[in-house]
Amino acid sequence: MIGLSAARKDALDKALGRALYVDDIRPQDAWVGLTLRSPHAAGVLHSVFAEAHFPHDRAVLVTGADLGERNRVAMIVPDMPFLATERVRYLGEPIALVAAPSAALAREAAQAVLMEIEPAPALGSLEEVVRRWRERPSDVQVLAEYELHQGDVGRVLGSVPLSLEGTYTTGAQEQAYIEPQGMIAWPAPRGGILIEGSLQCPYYVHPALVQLLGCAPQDVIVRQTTTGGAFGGKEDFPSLLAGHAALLAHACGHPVKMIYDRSEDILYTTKRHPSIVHHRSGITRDGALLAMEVEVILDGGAYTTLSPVVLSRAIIHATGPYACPHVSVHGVCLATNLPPMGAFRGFGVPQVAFAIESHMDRLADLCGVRPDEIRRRNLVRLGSTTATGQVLRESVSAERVLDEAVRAADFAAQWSHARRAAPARRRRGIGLALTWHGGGFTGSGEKRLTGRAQLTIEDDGDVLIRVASVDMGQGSHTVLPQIAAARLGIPLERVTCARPDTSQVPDSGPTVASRTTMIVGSVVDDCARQLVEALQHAMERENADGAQGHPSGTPCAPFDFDAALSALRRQGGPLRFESHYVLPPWIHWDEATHRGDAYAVFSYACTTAEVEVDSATGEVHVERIVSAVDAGRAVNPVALEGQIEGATLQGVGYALLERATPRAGRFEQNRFQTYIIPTALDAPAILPILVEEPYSGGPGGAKGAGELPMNGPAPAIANAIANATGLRIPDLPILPEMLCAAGWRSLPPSGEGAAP
Amino acid sequence: MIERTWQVNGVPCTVRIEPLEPLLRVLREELLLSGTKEGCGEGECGACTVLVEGLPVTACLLAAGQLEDGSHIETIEGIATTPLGRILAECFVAHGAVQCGICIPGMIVAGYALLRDRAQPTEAEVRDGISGNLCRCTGYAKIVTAILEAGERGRAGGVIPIDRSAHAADEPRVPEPPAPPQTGVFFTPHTLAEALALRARFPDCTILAGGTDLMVGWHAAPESPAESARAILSLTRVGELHGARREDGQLVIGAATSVETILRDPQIARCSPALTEAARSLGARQIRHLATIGGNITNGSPAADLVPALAVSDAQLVLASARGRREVALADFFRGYKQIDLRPDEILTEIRVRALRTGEREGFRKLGTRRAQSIAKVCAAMRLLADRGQVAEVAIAVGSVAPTVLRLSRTEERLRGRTIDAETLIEAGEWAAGEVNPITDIRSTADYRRAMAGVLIRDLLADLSGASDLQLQQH
Repeated sequence: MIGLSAARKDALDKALGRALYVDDIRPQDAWVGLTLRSPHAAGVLHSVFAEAHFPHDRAVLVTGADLGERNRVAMIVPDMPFLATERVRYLGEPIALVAAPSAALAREAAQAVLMEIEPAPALGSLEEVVRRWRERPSDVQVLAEYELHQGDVGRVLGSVPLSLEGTYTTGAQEQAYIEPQGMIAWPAPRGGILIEGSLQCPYYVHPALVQLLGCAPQDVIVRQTTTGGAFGGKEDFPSLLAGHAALLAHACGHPVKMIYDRSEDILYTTKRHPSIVHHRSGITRDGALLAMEVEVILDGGAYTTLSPVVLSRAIIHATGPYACPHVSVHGVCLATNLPPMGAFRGFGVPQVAFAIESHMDRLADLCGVRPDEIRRRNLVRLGSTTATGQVLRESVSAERVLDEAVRAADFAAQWSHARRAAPARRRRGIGLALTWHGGGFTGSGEKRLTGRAQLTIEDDGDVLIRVASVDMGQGSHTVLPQIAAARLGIPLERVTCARPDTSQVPDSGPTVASRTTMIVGSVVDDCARQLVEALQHAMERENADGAQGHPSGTPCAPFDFDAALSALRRQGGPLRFESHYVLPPWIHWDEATHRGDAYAVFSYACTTAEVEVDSATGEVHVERIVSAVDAGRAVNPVALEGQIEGATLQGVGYALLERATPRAGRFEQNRFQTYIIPTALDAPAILPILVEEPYSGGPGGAKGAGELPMNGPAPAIANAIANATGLRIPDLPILPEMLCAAGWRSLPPSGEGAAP
Repeated sequence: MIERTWQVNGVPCTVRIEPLEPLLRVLREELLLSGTKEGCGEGECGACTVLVEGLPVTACLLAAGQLEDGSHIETIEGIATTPLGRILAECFVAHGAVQCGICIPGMIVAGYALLRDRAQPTEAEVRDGISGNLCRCTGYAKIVTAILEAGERGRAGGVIPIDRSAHAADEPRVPEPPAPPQTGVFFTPHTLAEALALRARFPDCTILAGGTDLMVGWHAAPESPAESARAILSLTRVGELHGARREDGQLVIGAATSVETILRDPQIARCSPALTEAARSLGARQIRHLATIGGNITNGSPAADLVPALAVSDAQLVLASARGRREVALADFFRGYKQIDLRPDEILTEIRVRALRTGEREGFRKLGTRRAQSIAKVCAAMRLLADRGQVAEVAIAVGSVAPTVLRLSRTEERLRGRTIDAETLIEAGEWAAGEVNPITDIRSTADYRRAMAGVLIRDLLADLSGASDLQLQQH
């Protein structure tokens, strides 16, 4: 069962159009909710009021003034209001809400609401805020700041044989799930609410609503609907939208449905943090890293949201999967007057991976070695120490994934050939990136979460897994049953995940951070183990003489499940099993210094990209990507391949197409016509290679996998372009305009360093 | 509100609709067929792909009022019950092609349309066939595999090729002309005479052809009072405005001919290969079935893909009114950015193109924001008559580099009589770059556009004259 590419349980219903997404649900007497937004990026909000012709008999209006102290979205730092009062901090910030029985009426009502705002100067981009921050730090709001140190970078960098500096930037990236954000709220007794919507984390939305409504926790129910893609975009944002729908539902006494239009979704929901990353490193002549100094600056947008944890993950991963004795990383997340940035697959790592992997290729050039060679020289191995001082104890596969990808892509030959090739209109090149990703929450985060799961025997003898982890397309509601079915020795059809509903499932923690299979899966596995034990005890009691001793070691199911279950039932149960995650006892983490064991285990990937560049037009076509990924153990190989292929194409988009440029307070790209994501014709051939280096703490040996394959494609493509053309573009996305503007047609085809 | 009775998945359904309401909304909200999804509302994502008269279209861009009584609509709910639809769904499931699933019904409808069309598509054809359907989860790999496999299984099981007689015709049905419904202010005339009479009566009416631009505007502002007060004149049912024919060395194309029809017409490919190529580069299949050549012209955009191709074939536009008709050269029709020479009572009825003569060659190139479904950063067309290695006659047009599509007459002039050698190729590019006047906008920069106008012209000249080798040596 583990290692079996079972078909997804939800796939056929989705394929036939039978699955119900939030917009497919039509409550009888639902009203339509709309958001009224600030037309200014910054300013003082003097008043919001309904004009005389507001249709009070057919519509309701909610403003922040109605909310008082409750007007804070419960997150890491509760600085974001549900509705702005006094100040507005980004263009499009929600100021008021209206609902009416129809969309047309709601729009009419919205026209009758006046907002008086006195505009103030705004910080419209990361470049602008960094300039200000360097000049007068007190003018700028720092949303988060961390640093980590190991050894003595300052001393060592002064005396290294070779050193290299570089600055790398990345832009905002939109998750671009095809289903826009949407939420339905039903008023419930005792001031409570029932929410159904497209979301990743039922237990993020739940406390946010309890806080907002001031009701008892049991009077708030949050249910996930079939979710049409999320990628982090439905991690933190749904708390805000659910709050809006809930407020309107209470105001009008009807269910309220809020479905974002694509344009509203692109403009005003969270994006990947834009970044500026500066590297300064020292290296020996034969390519051994001696010291690395890194500064990571992120644009957090107007409110804190998840920025501290994004920044933390970014600085931990900033030096890449390399062992370097002297490391210093400083990270800061600055506030701008842009919509809050948030979670997106990779969570800070794609930005720093682009920087370090671009920088590694430049270091290779400096030493005159091949990109794969410099990585092999420095990569982490079993027993290596990371930048946070963590000693890697098991499942370290950086070298294996590098070997697998390099071999499958014939990297060395292709790379050298491109360097020697005569100049031509169409130039081919290959690049690689070696990346890693820590599984689960950082440091002791998983200890705080104590992700819980339950397993119950239903009346028909089938097994129901109760977890808050959602299936948003990644396949967790097939993979978790596979884990339980493997333990129980019963067919997959007999194990299902309950619909995530806070009144029915325990808090397993959020569906984020590549933690569902590895962390929640291990808790589900433990529940199943308890059930097996209970069944074995029941069988033993059933056999009056108890001739068979209790089997030693981890229980597995060497018996007739149904017979044992009948015995268990006759003996009165138990029929419900519960467990929670226990952080490995050896993990020690100091958040303040960022020293210690950042993650129980890392996953590793090596990506190669083969590109063809039209030297006249600057067009880059990615022909093939090889992605060797170690996720410990592939519980469902086809599902894992799907994660790799999907993340890879998101990485291709990040590298070459996806551009969100702020201008006068808002992103210029406000539709799918202007925010360009790859079509089937833009997609390269993708060869996923599953490398298995099992992790003792994961179910069947599994580690995190969902985000990792997003980290490598962009730097691999940038490196391939450099290999093909000799030109290094340190900024994402790499557009034909940039390649042409750099005037690279006149450059020799080989890069700055000598070919080996 | 008007009432219509359609055949939806083979079942007669009567609906009350606002004429400009998108079909998507009627399907989802009136008929409760929620398998057809909305991802963007403006034809970009393809999640709402359905078949109308057997052809894939984006339901968000099709004004419901354009579908007359008896129109055939097939949605995923109906396609799922067909043998091929079932096989497709099974292959999607078996190959792990379904992740979040929101794009999948539209993908299956697109795949179904593709396999009906090409019983044995190549991988490239499958990718092209679904290039109007965005998926964010899968990287498309398993979707492509699933459709290829469904094709194999369909052929093995005798499900493909489909017996087309069981389906609606492949081309849009040009309906019988009974008395057209003239309800409210939405008119769907069946003859040109009726259309012209209506145009004379409602001179400020909005002309609706494919709707692929107009409906995007409707989506952005559904209750715009200016629009709702105006009469709508839908031209898609006017039989005279459809199709292409030869007439004394000219190719005559009806203004309501769809871009997909142009793309597939072998006669057009012979008379104006640049037009065929331009049609291929426009949108994706779902859009091309709706979009019309007349709409592409009268929208007045400098980025209109078909216009450079028409410009190099000395296209004449036939503008008809109840008073009579006049012919205007394409070049004179455009008066500025989105400014056209169309009088309030006129309708663009025909485009007359000079057919390619013996010895002439023609080509089209486009640089877009991606490889499919893209708007041009720069596009260019060229018609060339070369004689013994010299330029005898040349016409050059470039799009997206000025307020209107430009004919590069100075470059043409300088090229005439020139021997086509490496130097000429370089100079042609330089002249072309010097003759355009682009701006920087959301899609590209002025510098890039100017340089690329040169590159495209150089490439076209090299390819059409067979001098590509010269160019290679130069690099």
